[in-house]
Amino acid sequence: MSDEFDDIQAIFFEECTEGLTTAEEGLSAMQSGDLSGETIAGVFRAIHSIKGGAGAFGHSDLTAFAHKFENVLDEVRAGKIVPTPGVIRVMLSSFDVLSDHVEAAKGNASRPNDGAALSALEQVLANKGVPEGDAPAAAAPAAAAPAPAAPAPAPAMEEEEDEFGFRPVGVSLDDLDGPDESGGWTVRFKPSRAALANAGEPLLTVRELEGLGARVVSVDLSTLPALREIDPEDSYVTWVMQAPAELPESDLSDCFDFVAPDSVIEIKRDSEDVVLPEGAGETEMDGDEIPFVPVTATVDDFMDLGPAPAAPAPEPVPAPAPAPVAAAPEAALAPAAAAAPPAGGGGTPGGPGGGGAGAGGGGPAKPVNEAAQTIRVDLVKLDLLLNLVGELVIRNSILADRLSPADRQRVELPELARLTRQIQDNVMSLRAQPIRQAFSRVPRMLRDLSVETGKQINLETIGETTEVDKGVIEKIGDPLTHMIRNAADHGLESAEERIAAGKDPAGTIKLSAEQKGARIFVRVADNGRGINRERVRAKAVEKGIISADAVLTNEEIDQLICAPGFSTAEKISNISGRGVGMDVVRSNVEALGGRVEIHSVPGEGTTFTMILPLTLAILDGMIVRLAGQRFVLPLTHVLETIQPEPGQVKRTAPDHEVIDMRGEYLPVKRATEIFGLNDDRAIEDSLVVIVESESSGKVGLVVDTIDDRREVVIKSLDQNLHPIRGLGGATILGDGSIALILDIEALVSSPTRFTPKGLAA
Amino acid sequence: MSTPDTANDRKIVTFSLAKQIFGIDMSALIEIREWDEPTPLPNVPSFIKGVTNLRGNVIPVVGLAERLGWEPSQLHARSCILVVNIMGKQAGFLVDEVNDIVGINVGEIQPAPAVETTLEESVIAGLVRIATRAKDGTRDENGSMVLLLDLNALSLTKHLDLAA
Amino acid sequence: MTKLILTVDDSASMRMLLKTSLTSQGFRIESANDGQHGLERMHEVKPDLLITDINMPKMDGFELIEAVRQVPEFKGVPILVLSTEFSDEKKQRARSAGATGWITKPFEATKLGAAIRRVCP
Repeated sequence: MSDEFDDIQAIFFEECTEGLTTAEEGLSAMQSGDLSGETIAGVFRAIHSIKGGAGAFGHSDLTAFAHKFENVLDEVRAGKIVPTPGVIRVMLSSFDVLSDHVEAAKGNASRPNDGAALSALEQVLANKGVPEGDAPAAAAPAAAAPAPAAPAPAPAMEEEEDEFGFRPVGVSLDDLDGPDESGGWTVRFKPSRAALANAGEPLLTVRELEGLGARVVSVDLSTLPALREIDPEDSYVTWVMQAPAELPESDLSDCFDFVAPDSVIEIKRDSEDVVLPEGAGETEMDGDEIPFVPVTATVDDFMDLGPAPAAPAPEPVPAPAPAPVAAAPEAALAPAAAAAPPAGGGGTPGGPGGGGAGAGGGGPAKPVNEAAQTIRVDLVKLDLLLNLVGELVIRNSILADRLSPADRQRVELPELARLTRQIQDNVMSLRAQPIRQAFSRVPRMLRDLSVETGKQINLETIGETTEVDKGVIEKIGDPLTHMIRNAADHGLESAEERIAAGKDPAGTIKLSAEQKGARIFVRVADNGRGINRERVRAKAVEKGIISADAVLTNEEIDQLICAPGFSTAEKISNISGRGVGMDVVRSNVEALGGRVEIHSVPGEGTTFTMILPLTLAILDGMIVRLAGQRFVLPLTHVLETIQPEPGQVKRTAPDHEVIDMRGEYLPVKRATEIFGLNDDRAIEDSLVVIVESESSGKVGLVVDTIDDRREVVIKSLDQNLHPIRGLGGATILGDGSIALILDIEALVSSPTRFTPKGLAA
Repeated sequence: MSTPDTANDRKIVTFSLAKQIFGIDMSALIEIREWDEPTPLPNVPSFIKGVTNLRGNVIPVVGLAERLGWEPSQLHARSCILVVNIMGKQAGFLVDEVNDIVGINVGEIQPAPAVETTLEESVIAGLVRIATRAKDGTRDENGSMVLLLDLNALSLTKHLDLAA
Repeated sequence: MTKLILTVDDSASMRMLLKTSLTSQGFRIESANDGQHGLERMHEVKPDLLITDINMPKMDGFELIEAVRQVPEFKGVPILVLSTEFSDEKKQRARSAGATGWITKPFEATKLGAAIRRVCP
């Protein structure tokens, strides 16, 4: 059970994440001027749901904060608070605190200090806005749209009540300050017509009371009209019950919770004086003299179809006069429906509650069947499906291998292959998610950064609907965070500096995502000062990353930013400092099979581009053989393949060879050596695949042969083992055998053979 | 100990390795498969023979004899791989021969003597005597001693931590 | 015969909570994730009781109840509304729409059961 509870709670947290995303999008839209009712309602709903769930799971701090936030949103939604920029700012910062509360509820963080945010929200509630000279009129037009400004909710409410006859009748529940324990309770109950109308079943109330130990002592039928006048949907019966003295009154009154307002309910101690009715008691059942008042209810209870307003109920109804005017559409409907069944049919009171009107007449409104329905699937199940489809692909090719060439041409096999491929594509698309999820935390981060750095920062986001494999989304979060921080901290200038340079004092960071083929380009572009190449270069020399006389192109200097241990920050700020630099971004991205590009124009800004595979589950690979064993080379790194001419590969040192590529000398690595495989093949019998790596540039990799080029399903080695340096995983080939996927980056950057020690890393 | 057939509250799979009889908990066993040359991995300790394809999963194959510090097993017709689940990770262990599935009484498990172990820590969870079925179906009353392996101690991840 | 309850809530966790606590009390549960979906499901499953959230996208709980009450077949189906709080005003609104009763979130399984028994024979 508690596991189940945890599972459900995990879903709740997912919903929180979604809700926060929705809320933030809505708040951002409001900030940029979209004050439509729909947008506001969306934010309200998101916060409301978080509050509801938080309550159910016992997160009281989160509930309390969300509640206050919701109150403000509710007023905004109702047009009572105008969402001026000031109000929206309060809501945005409250949103941030709410996000922190969610994290705290998850157990990932300690309870945030929400005092300031709470009091800001309270002030908004108290002042119906933020004073500070925000002219409410400025933002009013759109905001006020849903509800006319005239704050007349109370009267409106009353009207509604009157229409439907739900106006609470001040039932004479006397204050029993000194309950006399000696006497039992006498309970009188006459359900109203309205209580029956909503499928209420008075017998259930009576039964519930019986469950508490009460018993029916009499039923008053004095108001029962002649048969032909009976409205089957009305109630004419008054139950009189006696309940044990030891029951608290609240237990009794609770039973009437759903029927209370306009039904007649009296709960009294027997010892008290009960208003003695004249003319009552004609239909008493037992000899018990249980006196009761004549039914004192609203008039329409008796005047079934007669919607005519009448004097408010008499005696024990002191306070708000309930004018039971039935005038509104629904009231008009009710009599019509009531008229439908023959009046003689169900003379028994409470009939409607039971069977329901069996002879349903006119067809109901056609349900709109366009709801885009989604289901939530455990990612593990998707991965299992992907594995199975991978198996299917493999079996398919095994089958093809085993068939005779003639059979292979039959139409069924290619058809099967095509279907299999389609299934695979579809499964892959199931894992695809809009990159918005990764972008969603950026606005908040920038708000914080803006405060920390004192810089004004605008954010532009493009292409957030681009769909990427969920695995990629999960893993680009950290590099993205770092790039954004880097842009805010180093890229953008202070407002003064910008003004001096003739720029808008507010800097802009543009975050974009774009798919090109099987790769996704995620860019973080700032319009700041650009990379100061002189300083970068000097720093690199100082840190011993390059020699003082190195000749570097501008691009090469820019790339130095990503060199391990490089940091240009003059002072270590707590933003992008922390001892890690862009080299972490680069290594993270490379671990995903991607790369980072930097483009900078002095005075105009810098763009960092992460180029990533669309999926971490499938890879476009070249199947090569090394010492007879098959390996997969990721095609993204492959530039070209050549069959070396005699003399084209030269040994320049005992352990160093180069290949002459049209006058360019590239280092040659033997994968066999790297892996310690036995290989005595002459270089002329081998092929050299020219690969390009971020860290080592172009390198020639010696392989025996190239078998094939195809997409392979990546199986992570650490699923059952652990990562192995030099390998990016494994895949299962058509014949069921395993081929290891080479990690080019790790392979070519490694100067020497790996030793088993490297494993421990 | 006279009624080995009663109170068999735990089932173990017994197998031979280096002329000794070992046992692992039946509940950890996924399947027993024939030896099939795994794909060798570079840069791993020699007891990791490589990886193999188990219904679409890539699982490591461990030479259990080497892992326990003995001479590598000689492959022969009855060599096989015990595929087991160790804390959610799957691994195959190369053993010389699978013998039997027997019930044991947990109360009869004796602690492993802490002597002369060549292992970095005890991978033997305990000892238990089982009745052995002879080839002719009769029961060898003396039975034989089974070394119960502690699979968690054989976890591949765990070994790496120790190596580091 | 076990009672069939249709629960309508846009939050999956809330639907699951309802389902867990109600199935353990011997009810059969169907669910829908917004008002519109709920109305469709009403016609499909014809439940003995409807439990609905109020704040939902597309069609909120009040709109759903009003729509359900328009269908003669469903006039007698008890409807409970779920919400985090019930001011008198809100109870009033619920009644006006056609609700039979209400349950305050967060609910305890026993209270939930009691509320159901109060409206569902």
